[in-house]
Amino acid sequence: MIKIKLLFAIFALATAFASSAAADMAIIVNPNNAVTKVSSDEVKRLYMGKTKSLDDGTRLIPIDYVDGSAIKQEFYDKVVGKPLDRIKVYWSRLTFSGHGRPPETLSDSARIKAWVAGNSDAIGYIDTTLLDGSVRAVLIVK
Amino acid sequence: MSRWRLPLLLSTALVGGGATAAELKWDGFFTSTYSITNTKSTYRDIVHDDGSFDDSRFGLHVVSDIHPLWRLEAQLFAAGYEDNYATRLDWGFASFHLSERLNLKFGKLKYPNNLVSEYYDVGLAYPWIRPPHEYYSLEEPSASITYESFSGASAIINRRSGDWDLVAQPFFGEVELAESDANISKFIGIKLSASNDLTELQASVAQGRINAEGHELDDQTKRIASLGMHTEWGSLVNYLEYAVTTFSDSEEARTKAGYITLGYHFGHTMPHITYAGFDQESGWGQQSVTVGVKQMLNPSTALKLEMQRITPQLNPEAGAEMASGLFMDVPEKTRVNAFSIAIDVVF
Repeated sequence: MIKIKLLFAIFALATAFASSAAADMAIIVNPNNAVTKVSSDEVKRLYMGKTKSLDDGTRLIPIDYVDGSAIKQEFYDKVVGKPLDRIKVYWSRLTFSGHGRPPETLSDSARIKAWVAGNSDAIGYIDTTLLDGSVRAVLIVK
Repeated sequence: MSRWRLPLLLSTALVGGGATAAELKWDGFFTSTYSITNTKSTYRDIVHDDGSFDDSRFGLHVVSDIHPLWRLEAQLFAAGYEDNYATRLDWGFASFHLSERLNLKFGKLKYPNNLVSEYYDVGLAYPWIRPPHEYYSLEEPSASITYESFSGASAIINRRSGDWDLVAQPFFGEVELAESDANISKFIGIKLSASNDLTELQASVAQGRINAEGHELDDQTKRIASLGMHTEWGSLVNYLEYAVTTFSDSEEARTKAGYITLGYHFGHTMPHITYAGFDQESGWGQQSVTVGVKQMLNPSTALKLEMQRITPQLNPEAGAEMASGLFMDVPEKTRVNAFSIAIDVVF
């Protein structure tokens, strides 16, 4: 009986760990870019159009996912602290008053990774399980 | 300039963007509104007791980065209350991104003062079906000096201080009022704002000389000073604005206008309540209470319902047969209920 409980506990822990690990996101840049680390606040300001560069002056162009993407919802919940519908309201204020447009969008992680790998001033985000040598992770969002 | 000359110039510049082969990017917004009052009256020329879709509107925005430092941008607009959806250029300008801290704009620009003036027609951008009429209206006591965009220039000067983004936006120009010979000259003002993730604060002043031959306000200078605050503290939403409007040679026309809105996000649903009013020295005025709900159907679409209770005060200057509050006539009841339903889309 004790063994069964122990096995169940290990299984539960492993499941929790696995789901937690799967939810981690990596903020990525091109490996040729000198940037090695960014703060969550810098990422938020880039994606909300409040700046076009990091605090050290490095210019980066954010790339985002199309609406309906689960990772996009998670990114704005965790990094910006607001749900997607309020983000859309925010951008509608800026766009239709001529104060800025939201980041360009692509449909999935493979395209985001390929875009960042091919553009030296791009910044994006993907699931950490998709990391490889074509991009550099500069922040892990748990 | 004719209604279509500037759009044509802009589209020529955009399409023929020279060696840069600049890409055109499109966005749009649409609001379909039905409104009805419970008594025989015409409210703001668009809401009747037999119901109306006249407050519906449509906008198309196009932008092109023709150079790393230069952007061309324009917005076309059509509304049911404007000559039966005749399309016009809402605004269109060239902007020069001189640095992270300084942006210059030249062309036909939207009046920037007040919290929602620059996106007044974009329903999805705010909680109400229309921003409070007592504050945002075309009538002379309005805190807006104009809805019409002005031809001129503006600078946007940014600075960051801790968590706050500080912006100064001075502007100047001239306003040609559509479908009349009137214009506003020597138009000048500045908006100062401070914002962070939770709070947006604004203070602004503007003035312009009214040139409207035959009108009682001809050759007078209209001045507006306003304060605004918009907060989103967690799920609690607040809008608060207050303005004083004066005219150089008419003490009677001095007007105070303001409103407060409180809302709360329950997931994708936001009920809200607004108290708004304007009060002119002449005795003209109006107060209203609006209760509404904004339901986000998806990130790009909202359904809105509103019930508004309006208490107009007669404008003695206009005579008994003329305007009462923002009504075009004197309503049969002293308090009028208006019901509105709208759907807002951005794409």
